[in-house]
Amino acid sequence: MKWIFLVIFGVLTLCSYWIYATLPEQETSKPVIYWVTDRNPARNQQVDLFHDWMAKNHPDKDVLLLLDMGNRDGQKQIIQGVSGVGADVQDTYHGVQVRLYHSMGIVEHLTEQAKELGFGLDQTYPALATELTVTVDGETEQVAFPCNVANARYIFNEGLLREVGFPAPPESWTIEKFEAYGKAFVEKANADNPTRRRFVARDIPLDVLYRSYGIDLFNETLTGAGIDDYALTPDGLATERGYVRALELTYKWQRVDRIMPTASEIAAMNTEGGYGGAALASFERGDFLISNSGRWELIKMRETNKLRVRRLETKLDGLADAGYPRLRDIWEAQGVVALFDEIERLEASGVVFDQALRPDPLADGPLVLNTVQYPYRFLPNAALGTRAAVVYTGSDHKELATLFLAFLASEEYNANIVADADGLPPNPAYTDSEAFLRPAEDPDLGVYSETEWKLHEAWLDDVQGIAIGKTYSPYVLYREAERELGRPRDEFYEGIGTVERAADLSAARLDRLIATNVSKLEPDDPLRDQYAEGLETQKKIDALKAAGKPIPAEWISNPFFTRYYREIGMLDESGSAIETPAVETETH
Amino acid sequence: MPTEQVEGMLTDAGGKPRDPIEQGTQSPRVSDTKRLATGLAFITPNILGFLAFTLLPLLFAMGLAFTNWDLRLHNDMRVEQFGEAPLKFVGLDNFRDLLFEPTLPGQPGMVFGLVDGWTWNNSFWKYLGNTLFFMMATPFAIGLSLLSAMLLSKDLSGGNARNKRRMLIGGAMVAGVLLMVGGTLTVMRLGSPMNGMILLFCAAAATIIVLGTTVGQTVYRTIFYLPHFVAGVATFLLWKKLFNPEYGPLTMALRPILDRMTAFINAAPWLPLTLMWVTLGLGAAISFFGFAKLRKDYVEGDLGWRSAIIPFGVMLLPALLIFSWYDPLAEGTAMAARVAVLLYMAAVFAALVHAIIYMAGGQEIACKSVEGGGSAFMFAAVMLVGQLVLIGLTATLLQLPSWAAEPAGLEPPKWLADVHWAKPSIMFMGMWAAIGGNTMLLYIAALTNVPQELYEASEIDGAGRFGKFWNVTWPQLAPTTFFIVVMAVIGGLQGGFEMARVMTGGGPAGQTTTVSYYIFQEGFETGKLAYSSAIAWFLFFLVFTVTVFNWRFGNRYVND
Repeated sequence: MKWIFLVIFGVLTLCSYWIYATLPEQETSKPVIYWVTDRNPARNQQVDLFHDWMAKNHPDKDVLLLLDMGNRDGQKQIIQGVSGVGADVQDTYHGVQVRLYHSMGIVEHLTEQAKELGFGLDQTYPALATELTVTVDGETEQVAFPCNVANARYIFNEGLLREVGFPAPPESWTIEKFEAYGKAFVEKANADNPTRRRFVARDIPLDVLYRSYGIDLFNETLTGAGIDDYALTPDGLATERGYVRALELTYKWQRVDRIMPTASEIAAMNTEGGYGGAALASFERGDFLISNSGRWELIKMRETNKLRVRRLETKLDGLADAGYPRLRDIWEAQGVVALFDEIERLEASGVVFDQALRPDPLADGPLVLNTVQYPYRFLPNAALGTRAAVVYTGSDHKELATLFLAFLASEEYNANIVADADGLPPNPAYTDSEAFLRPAEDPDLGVYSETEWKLHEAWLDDVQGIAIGKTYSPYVLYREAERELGRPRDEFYEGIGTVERAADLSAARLDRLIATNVSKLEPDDPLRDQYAEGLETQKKIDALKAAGKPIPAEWISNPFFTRYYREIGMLDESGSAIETPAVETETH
Repeated sequence: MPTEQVEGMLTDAGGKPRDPIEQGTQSPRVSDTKRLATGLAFITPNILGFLAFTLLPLLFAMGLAFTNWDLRLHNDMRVEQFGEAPLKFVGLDNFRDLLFEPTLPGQPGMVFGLVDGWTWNNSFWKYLGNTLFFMMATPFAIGLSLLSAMLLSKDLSGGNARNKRRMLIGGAMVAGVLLMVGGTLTVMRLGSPMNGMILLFCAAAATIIVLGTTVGQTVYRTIFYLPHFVAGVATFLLWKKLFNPEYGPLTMALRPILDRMTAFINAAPWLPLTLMWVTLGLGAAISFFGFAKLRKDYVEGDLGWRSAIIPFGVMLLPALLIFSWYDPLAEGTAMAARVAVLLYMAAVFAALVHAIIYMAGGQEIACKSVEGGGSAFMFAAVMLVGQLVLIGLTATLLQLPSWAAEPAGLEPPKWLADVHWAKPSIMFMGMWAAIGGNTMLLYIAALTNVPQELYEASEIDGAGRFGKFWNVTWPQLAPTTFFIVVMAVIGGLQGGFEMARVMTGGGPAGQTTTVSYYIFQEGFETGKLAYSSAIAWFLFFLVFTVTVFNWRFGNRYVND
């Protein structure tokens, strides 16, 4: 037996050595840096681009960048990070992860290097600032740079509109108009189709909806929940509870009006898979008219287009044999919209096509897409996020890792994102081009003007205009705050509690969480005083809101409210805090 | 050299017994040391591994539970960037925060407001409740694995005499099955996937029957155990697909059945209501039986009066629960529900009063007041589960006519997406896994060890199938069942993590979050390692207590 043990021991030792000897670091004399990122074929191309960029811009520095796609999971990043074995460059999603990782000390401060190497905040969109920075001892520190910008908006399928025979939505709409349009659409779309349900939209981001009422997850001073508040409206009144209304509306749209699918119906649509995945298939086959999509979904849409065009051309060949060769010419010269116009014109004139050959606007030819803003109450807005890269504090090659972030701001990288459609490029300087706004049609890549040309600029305009990042309170982790909202909200949707209970309970639990967190801070922690001052200021703000008076800008820490009050003309930017009414005044 | 042997002992030339070491009957001291060293060398890696990867982390985690250790404050990487943050001893604060939380504005304190400022920790108790709810599937899972083990212990092969002929028939059937698979693929290609799937299902079933008939029980055992060769996560993903609320196979299979049921119930709405009285009656009968058994134990000196209090309370729980679900005095409660609740409560309280009056007459054999509490509690717990199942069935039957009368009729559940169905769905999956799992293997092994003479003796005594099972098989399986119960309870208390992580994310509305998933959430999503350790140690305490309880009282049944 002991010989067996010894042999096993020997074999394991040899295997260990073999693994060590075949590590990439052992096979090259260059320093190796790892990039933890998501599974996307484009990453290999980006790695090659980085090596080329380094050779061109930093020829004195050798580096081998390797992808690590197996450790993108947040928990893995945390455990590896605090254990000292994290990857040199790590992707994070939004400020949520950036702040969590920073609080654990695994994210490097990069403000100086960013200025020096040209990947400062001025090289990206101003709206992203809160996602990329943290506050340390009162100073704002940049800790990340975007790999891409992940903002979504409503995209609709004109093929489905053609099939149903329904007009397109307006460019922007209020909640009432959206609801009216949705009801009319589902009535018509499902009139002749009792076995299948079509919806107007797959979903709507809840935060976009309640923010449009002028409220946010946190209050103005970030010292407590804001979701139970009555928002200050443009007419100086505080009459509507935005969160309550948002929950009521989504419930109504899903369960009463049936213009949106319920959570279980969405689950049934099988929404797994990256870059749209099965959700895209569901959108493409017309389960819903409007998809909440980001530019990254064009990656899959382009792949889909190739199949759809192949299907269309097969049918057009058949129609050519059947005596309609002109249809193929129209498709090649004028595109798919003109083709279907012509088919409809012919049918109106009495032509009857063989149903097996008649192109289907839902299934054949490139997707014909257009876009519309999210519905809103007072403030048109959109969600904003980013996949941002950070440098690991425990990296042995921080300098090289930092250069990778500089590469993210470069023309080479941004051109790759522009061409690949993996979200918006991080550097807006590279969006002002035909390649971004109106990419040339390329059947080999599945790029078609009807699919894309109306979308790129809209996504860009959102980021440069109405999009707002998430709000972060220094007193609580965003994830913890979100968790306090989740259960009461689900319970309301499942009919266990009322909507008012959901709002009140969520807010009360969030307030308690913040107070508990603050109570656990060290006695000399400056956050304690900041919190106490914030509470006082909040009382004054609440009093002003109750009185319908403008709020001094310097009192507001929550960037959403600065923006909202400015939009509705209730922000006092004079710099002198006005006299406030008695603080005891009730907000509601 | 040894010269002669006296009584098995070597002697020297003088006839004196030689040193045992020299005789070889006892190793020399040096040999002892060598053997000790060899033994230690073999077990040292294991001991070191245990120390390094089990004992020390355990002790470390225990220490951690009494500190404020938070990954956001205490880790080496953070120290480098922000400086040292003091690690504080916080005593039992983490355990306090685990069990209690500050009250919300307007919320009363604990114990009807008597303990001001604190209330039960809503999250933890809910998640512990979820864990215990999932464990209600354990008795059913054990029962089903015993059933499958008994089935798989039968000789299901064709037998020797006709084996050849059957093999021939089997071969022909296999060929037929292959043809069916080919046909299936053709049908699917032609655009009729549903028919193709039905064909494929039939083909698979036929293949299994053919193989089982020709080869025997080994085939069935292998097929039953197959899911255990598949990684858990893959199985969960498969079940997630099965539970798809609109297009999943379960939903698709249920839909036509429910459509027919809807029509049937609408035509005969009296039927479910009649059945409701049957299930309610069975529930009441269980209650009667339970109280009668406890009363008998008390009178015969197997149960002391103090020990009887908790089991009696447990037996009363269903009556109180049914009252809380259907308040007979509340406005809007259906007349049938009012009558049912009142009758059920009357029956339970009658059984209770009857038992108490009988017990007031004293014990025939005196015993200590704390005698037999564990056994009685376990018995009452089993009765509780039975009553709850029947009450649930009663409530369902009560509602059936109104559900069927709705425009959409009876609809399949939304499974994991439904707040009421998420837990039962996962329990259902767990039972499926248990049928062909290790429990079944243990039972198969145990069944082979039951002496045939006992069955023969019971046959001579005139025992039928059930009699043989109840008087021979079941008692003989008691040690195995005991082991399975102990392990299942431990596993149940620790379980639920993978399912929550892969299938539901703990939702909807926290319905599938178990204690183990809560540990993960707190430890690795928000970095509160100390708090997370406190939860883990509380769970350990719970598992330990329940296991001690099981050993202490469960062993009696085994020894009986």
